[in-house]
Amino acid sequence: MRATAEDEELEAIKRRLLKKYMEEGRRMEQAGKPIDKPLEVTDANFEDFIRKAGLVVVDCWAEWCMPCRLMAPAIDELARRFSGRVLFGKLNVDHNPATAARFSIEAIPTLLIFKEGRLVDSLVGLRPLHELEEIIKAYL
Amino acid sequence: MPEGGLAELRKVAERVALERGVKLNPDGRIVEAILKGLLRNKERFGKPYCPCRVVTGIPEKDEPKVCPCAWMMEDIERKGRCHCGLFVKG
Repeated sequence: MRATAEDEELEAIKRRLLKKYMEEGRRMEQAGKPIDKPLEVTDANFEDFIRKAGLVVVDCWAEWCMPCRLMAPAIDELARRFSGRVLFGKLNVDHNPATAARFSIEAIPTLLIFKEGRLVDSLVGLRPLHELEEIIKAYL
Repeated sequence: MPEGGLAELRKVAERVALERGVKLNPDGRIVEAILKGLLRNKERFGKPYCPCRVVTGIPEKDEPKVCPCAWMMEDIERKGRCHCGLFVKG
């Protein structure tokens, strides 16, 4: 049995919703409003992205990674709680292998934390919201 | 986990769990999603690499990531489940 056409369709719907969600964030950015959603990060925009704010968190994920899916709501919530202070991004490692290789990402989810454009922490694996919040606060 | 097909992958996962004294995650949705990820990786890369690990294309780095991965038992001992959550403590 192969992955069904229905599965592929569901994944396509999820991709479209995520894209729409992140486009909203981009529009907020363009309008100069505080960003309260994770933005899409790619190999192409990575260098610019990590310098867009003093503190930047990049969630490295993939569609089929269950812990990534479980942690996604926590990332969305953190983007709301730290709006205007920390910029959050999501990098799909399947579609952006150069960045994954550059930071030697072997397991996902991995959160990369950048302060003033420099990597200061790398968190591998599913973590609860309160733990992530405390770690991020310590870098503010 | 060399066999193909979701049903086949499930059988292999059940056998691995039995042999190693662990269990499949009691949440069937998680098991289903991970098995689909394994199947996708098998179709894409030729082997059922863990969908929660990054396939680099470097064989010596990637081989330990084939499910059941090299870190499975260590993760279960430490966290009560493997990194991806397919297997949990028995």
